[in-house]
Amino acid sequence: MMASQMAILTRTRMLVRVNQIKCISTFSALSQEPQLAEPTHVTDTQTTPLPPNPASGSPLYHENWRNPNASQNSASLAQSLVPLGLLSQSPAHRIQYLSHSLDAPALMNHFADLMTQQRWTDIKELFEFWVRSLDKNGKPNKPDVNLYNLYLRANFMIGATAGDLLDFVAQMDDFALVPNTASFNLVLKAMRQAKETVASEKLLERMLQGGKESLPNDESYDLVIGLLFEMQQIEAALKRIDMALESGYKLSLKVFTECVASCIKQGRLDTLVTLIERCKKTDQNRALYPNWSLCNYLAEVAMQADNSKLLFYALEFMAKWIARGENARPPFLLSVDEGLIVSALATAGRTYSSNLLDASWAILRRSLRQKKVPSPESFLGKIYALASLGNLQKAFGALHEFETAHGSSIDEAEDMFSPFTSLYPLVVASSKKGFETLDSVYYQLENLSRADPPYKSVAALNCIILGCGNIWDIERTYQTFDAISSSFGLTPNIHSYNALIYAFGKLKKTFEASRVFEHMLSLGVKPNAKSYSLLADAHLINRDQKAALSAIDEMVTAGYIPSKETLKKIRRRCIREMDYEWACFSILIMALNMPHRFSDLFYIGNIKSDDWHSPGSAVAVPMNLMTMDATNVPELTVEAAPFIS
Amino acid sequence: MNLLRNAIKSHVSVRTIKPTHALPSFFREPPRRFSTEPNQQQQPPVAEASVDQFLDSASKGFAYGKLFGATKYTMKSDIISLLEGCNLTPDDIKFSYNRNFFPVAMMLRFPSPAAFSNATRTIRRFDQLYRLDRVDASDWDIVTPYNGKTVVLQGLPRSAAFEDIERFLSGCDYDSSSVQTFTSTRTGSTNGFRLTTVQFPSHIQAMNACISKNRKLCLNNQVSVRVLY
Repeated sequence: MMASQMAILTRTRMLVRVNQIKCISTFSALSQEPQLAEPTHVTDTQTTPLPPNPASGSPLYHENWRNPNASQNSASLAQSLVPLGLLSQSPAHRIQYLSHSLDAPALMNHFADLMTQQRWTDIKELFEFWVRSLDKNGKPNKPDVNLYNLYLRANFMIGATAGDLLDFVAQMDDFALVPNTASFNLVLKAMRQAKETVASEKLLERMLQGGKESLPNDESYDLVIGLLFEMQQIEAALKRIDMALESGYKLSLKVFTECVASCIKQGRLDTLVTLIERCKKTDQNRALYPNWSLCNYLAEVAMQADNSKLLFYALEFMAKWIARGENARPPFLLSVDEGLIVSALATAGRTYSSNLLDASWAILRRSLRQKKVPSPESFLGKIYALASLGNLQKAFGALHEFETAHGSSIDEAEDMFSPFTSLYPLVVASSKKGFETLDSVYYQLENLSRADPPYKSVAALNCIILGCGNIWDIERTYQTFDAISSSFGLTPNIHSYNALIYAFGKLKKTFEASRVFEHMLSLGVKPNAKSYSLLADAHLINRDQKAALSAIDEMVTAGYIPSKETLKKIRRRCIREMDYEWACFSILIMALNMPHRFSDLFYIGNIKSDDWHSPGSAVAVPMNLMTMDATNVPELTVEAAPFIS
Repeated sequence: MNLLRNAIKSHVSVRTIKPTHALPSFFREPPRRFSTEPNQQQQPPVAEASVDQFLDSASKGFAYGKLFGATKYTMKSDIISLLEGCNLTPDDIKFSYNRNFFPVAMMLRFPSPAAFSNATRTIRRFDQLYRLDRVDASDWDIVTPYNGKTVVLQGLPRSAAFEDIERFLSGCDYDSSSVQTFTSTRTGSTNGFRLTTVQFPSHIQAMNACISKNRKLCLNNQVSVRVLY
């Protein structure tokens, strides 16, 4: 393998030879030395040499070309390594006739015919006979570069190796021909088949340094780069792509796809971004994009790496596919997965990229094709991204869209428009600069409510209320709450009351918080799990664990399950107040209802429990608990007591 | 102490607990038992409903299919719009996951064999992207649906304790007792990696958690959060 590689390398070097005119005779230079002006007879006479031999353009001139039987000479012009036993089969006189009767253009046509029939050996033989025969003017036939390239091609198709082809190309010299790009491309093809990366790179270099006719074209680069990718030489391939793009060549789609796949595999995402950007700048490469699955994979990889630019380009590619599908006949309607868009929107929020946000939303709209509205998840993603970018106007606009699209869904509306969870990004963004931002948003909402058509939204106002609560500003909180009905003419909903309870509770205004709760009950508004939790929190802030517990009790009666956090807080307060009786009481209440949920809460210092999961055991209250009182504190050990589920 | 005793007594009395959200089947006790006998009084009402459904489906002529080609970002709504003419509802779609919670295929339940052939026609146009196979009812029943309420966290460090997970998920309204960890080994490597599932009361809350918590840090490791359908 090495030996053949070396052989090929030496052969490629031979191509740099300048085309020399072969002279039969040489003449020595005349001596210019001054002679003494003595009347001596000239001893050596300088003879004027003959002009050089005009015969050029065929190696046949070196042989006995005037022999009428020259073409029958069995010594073939080129070393055919493929034993052409076919020589004996094909009628020699036919080939002789053809080689004698056809001139160059006619031969070209004949070759074209033979090519369509894939008769490569015939082409090769015919050519070899032809160059050894004389044309109608009695001179050896001289091929032009295209004819020779056909000969090269025939050899390639028969199976000549790259080395052989290089030999043939070297022999173009004998015909006074200069190999052009097509000639070298054939050699590159052979090198590609043989997977000779070093040789092909060297040949490409030669082509670049050679004359104008042998400059590489798109195909040359394609062959070399394709081979480099195939042989996993990613660095070299990327360098060549760089070179190709710089010189303005067009990359093939196959190479582009290979490149994208390799870059992803190697994790070279920034390189890929630069590459895509460069391709987009050139006219000829602008339309390159990988297939649909690869686009999806590219998007996924970009999201995992938080690379917003790459994700943007991946979405652009997908948009091109969608457009292409729609223009096809019959139309082929592709859609982007909505889950992908939600993720992309979240990525846009994380990377603060408004380009990505706009692109994601646009492609979502395009995919949905007005047949359905974006799902609530997409709207939540959009609100999150806009809030994260600090664009409050658009964020509230997105909320408006969300309400229009999904506001009428009764069961999920409470969930979807809760300022504590779903709309929390909006709450945080609204209170970014404290009361300034909150006031400006409130002012905007006021203006919008008087606009034409008016926009009034309880959900938006709830975000303001919670925002004010977050900054401990009870005056603004109350005023906004009041304004819901007074200025905007709307009815406060459960989230409004919850936000108000939260604000009061935070400032230890427990009485007011309870009053809000009772007011809510009196109006017939049904409290939700959050209401009870917030009420319990308010009591805990006031260090009143008994009231908190009764709130939780009501909660359980109403059919809600308290969160572990709330119970932990109550337990903590009970312990702080050295109120172990109530601590256990709270635990027992919960345990009786849902032992499997709160098994790990049963650890207060030395109290441990396990084995809560066996159903069917009798109710057994451990005797220690029953005799326990506040003085009997430190070494409490409660035996594990299975409770009925 | 009398107070305590009375309190306990009042709570021990039988009371129907109305959970605010439905727990998935494998958290419910006792395990489902399929039975064709109509009068089984010991079975809690939940299992009876599934028996009815089972009987119903057998008589209604459902056709079942398995669709390949989903990515981990495909939502049920995407499939519904893809197979427009078949009038699928979200309950007719179940995602079948492998051990790493990667979607392998989607199980579909078509209201009639005609709908199935309609779907096959549509899928044929997307030949290289999707493939639809016909399957039996048994394959449909095996798959447990997550209904968009479960979220899987990937990338938690081995040393992460329960408190760390809770801290990571702070601000989200999740079901604390539902946190389950699975360790699976990638083929060809010795490191196992952790996958933790957490349940949420609704799919909106689950997606909220994904949007706000994805790629945030827990003990210096970046955690990815993904919804299971």
